[in-house]
This record gives sequence, C-alpha cells and structure tokens, in this order.
Amino acid sequence: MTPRDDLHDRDLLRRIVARDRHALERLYRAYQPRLLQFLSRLCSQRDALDEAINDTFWTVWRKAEEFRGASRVSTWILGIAWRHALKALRRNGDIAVERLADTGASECQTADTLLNDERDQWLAQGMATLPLEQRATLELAYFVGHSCQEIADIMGCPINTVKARMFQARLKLRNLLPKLEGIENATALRGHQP
Amino acid sequence: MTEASSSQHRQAWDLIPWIANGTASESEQRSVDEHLHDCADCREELEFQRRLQRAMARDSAPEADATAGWARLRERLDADEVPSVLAQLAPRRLRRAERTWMPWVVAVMLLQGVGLGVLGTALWSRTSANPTMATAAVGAYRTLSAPQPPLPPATVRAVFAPTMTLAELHAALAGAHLQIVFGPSDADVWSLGPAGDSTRAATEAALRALRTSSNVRFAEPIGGAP
Repeated sequence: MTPRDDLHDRDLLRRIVARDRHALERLYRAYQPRLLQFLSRLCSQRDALDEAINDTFWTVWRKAEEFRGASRVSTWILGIAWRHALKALRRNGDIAVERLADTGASECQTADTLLNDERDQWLAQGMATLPLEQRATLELAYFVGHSCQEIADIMGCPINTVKARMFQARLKLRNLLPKLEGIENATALRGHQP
Repeated sequence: MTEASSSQHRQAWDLIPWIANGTASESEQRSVDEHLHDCADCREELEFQRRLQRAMARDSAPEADATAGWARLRERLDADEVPSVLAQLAPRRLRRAERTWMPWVVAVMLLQGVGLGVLGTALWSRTSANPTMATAAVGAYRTLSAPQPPLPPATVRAVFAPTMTLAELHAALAGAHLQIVFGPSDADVWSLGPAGDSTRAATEAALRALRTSSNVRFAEPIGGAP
C-alpha cells in the first residue's frame, strides 16, 4: 500500500460519503481479496468470512463520513473487518486451526514441496497454540505487513498491548525454532547441490 | 551485562519484529543495528523472525469471488435505501409545510371549533325535540373519537425501490388492493395487509400486481397468510 494508493482510497471514500455506489464497488473489489486472505487465517468457515466482509463494507457505506484521516484508509477498513470478524467468531465459535495442517502429501509431490508442506504444518500447529489476539497480531505484522501503531489502531488497543501480545507470541513460537531452522537449512542445502 | 546494556538489549529485542517487517522508523532501525553488532542473541532472533515471516507470507487464501460478494452487498443496499428514503421524506415535507401553513391551519382549526359548537348546540336542541333523529345521526357519521376498524393481519412483506415516490407507492398499493399494516421494520421491510378480500387467491393476486411494478424490489407472502 503506497501513499498514492491511500490518496486514491481517500478519494473513493469522499465519493462514498456523497452516496456514490460505483466508488463503493471499486473499494470493495480492491479490498475483498486481501480481507479474505487475512480473515481466512483466523476463521475457516467461508460463510462467516463472507458475512464479515459484507458487514465491513456495509459499515464503510454507512460510516464513511466518520473517517477522520488520522490513519490510512486500509488501516481503518481492516479495523472494521477485525471487529466484524470477532463478532462472527464469537457467534460461530470457530477459529481456523487446522486449515494448513490438513494438506496431505501425495506421491507426485517433489521433495521441495514436501519440505514446504512440512513447514506449513509446523506453522499451522504452532499458530494454533496462540490465543486469537496474539495470532492476529502476528498475521497483521508478518502477513499483511502493518506497523505496531497501525496494529494498535486496527485492533483498537494501546500500543503497549500490541507489544505485549507480540512478545508472548514470539516466546511460544520460539520452541519450534529447531524444526523451522532444520527445514530452512535442508532447503538451502538442496539449493547448493550441483 | 550492565543495566544500560540490558535496557538496550530489551529495547532491541522488542523492536525486532518491526525491523523484520520493515515498518520500524529510521532511528529505531539505527539503534537496533548498533545493538546487533555486539549481540549474537538478537542477531539470531532477527533471523528467526525473518524465517517466520517468509513462512507466513505464503499465500493460501480461499478463492475470492468479488463479483458474487458485491452482488450480495448491492442487494442489501437496495433493500435498505427505499423505505428509509420514504420514511425521511414524509417528516421533512411536513416540517416545511408546517412552517408555511401553520398560521392558516390554526385559523381554520379555530373556525372549525366555532362551527362545531354551533352545530352541536343546534343538534342538541333538535334531538331533544325528536329522539328518533339521534339514532339516525349516530348511524350517518363517524367521528375521530369513534373506534377505528381493526387493521387486517399482514399477508405480504415488501421492499420498494429508492426512486419510488409517495404517489407511486399509493398507486401500487391501490392496484394490489393492499394497505400498510406496519413498517418500515429495522431492516426497512414493509408489512402489508388486504384492503378488501383476504383470501389466499386475493393475496396471490396482490403479489402478482405488486411484482409487475419496477418499483417493487421484493414481495413475498408472509408464512401462514391466506
């Protein structure tokens, strides 16, 4: 997300305030895939994900005039999506824990693919041990690429809470270092073989 | 490790995720770089966090169908807009009318009051003289204080288009022999009941009549209605 993208998003929001549905559609089409990517890391029920995204843009349509410009538009929209996802998760009692771990190895997979699958399974199991807020903090930092302050804005909490959640998540995942390191080293060695 | 270097170590350790994802400020980056030069633990931790980030960055999202999602949102917007526009329109017009006509309305009401007083006195004197006229008068007039006929049960649920005017709404209801029983609900849906015949055939005819109008976005029978 570049400053230019944000200017474009702000222009769309201004048009949405003036009840321009075409602008809402453009914003929807730009953000729906990335919201789906982020939220699918937290919830595995597709219906609940679609509902949370729909609710997010319903809120954008009704509350666009409340955007004060203190953050990027993407941060504001992700904050709305996070709140709707929390509601959906509470309603459905579902957290995506085994989505990646379900990937089974088939005979036609290469050794590299198997290493990747093993790494994915490790990651899914490791992430499943984390509470939802710690997990979302990691996803927002490493998958979406937000700063500490932006994550605080999205999750509606003090910046120190984000730091504490990140600290706890790192501590728990640290135990899995040897496995991740082993897989990475194996991949690197294979890359150097003639 | 001295107290100062311990504090510096803790500070650098906390900043490592934001160094890894490239969102740390320039001064934070400089401060961590200086510390990394002398701290093997932090160098190892930064490398671990970078590996973790690479592993998490692999895209495994479900297929996004933005067109279908947008169609669902558009339906929701359509259903929301019409009744709320109609609901806002009526009070706004009333307020404007009140400002313009209020002195005249007050004058007419006063005149009506005087007229009703005169009529009441005349009627009282005449019915006292001839009691059979009183029965005839009660049968011929219905006053505002008389009990209203009960509303029929709602048989149809409908959502109207955003461009629909009040006149078009009245015409659509008259054409389908329906009247408003309740609405709009929180979801801006109107509940309609029969203005005449309340049989199942009449409900089906009313639905057919409603659905011929391009201003009716949605019309369905209410479960259990005739």
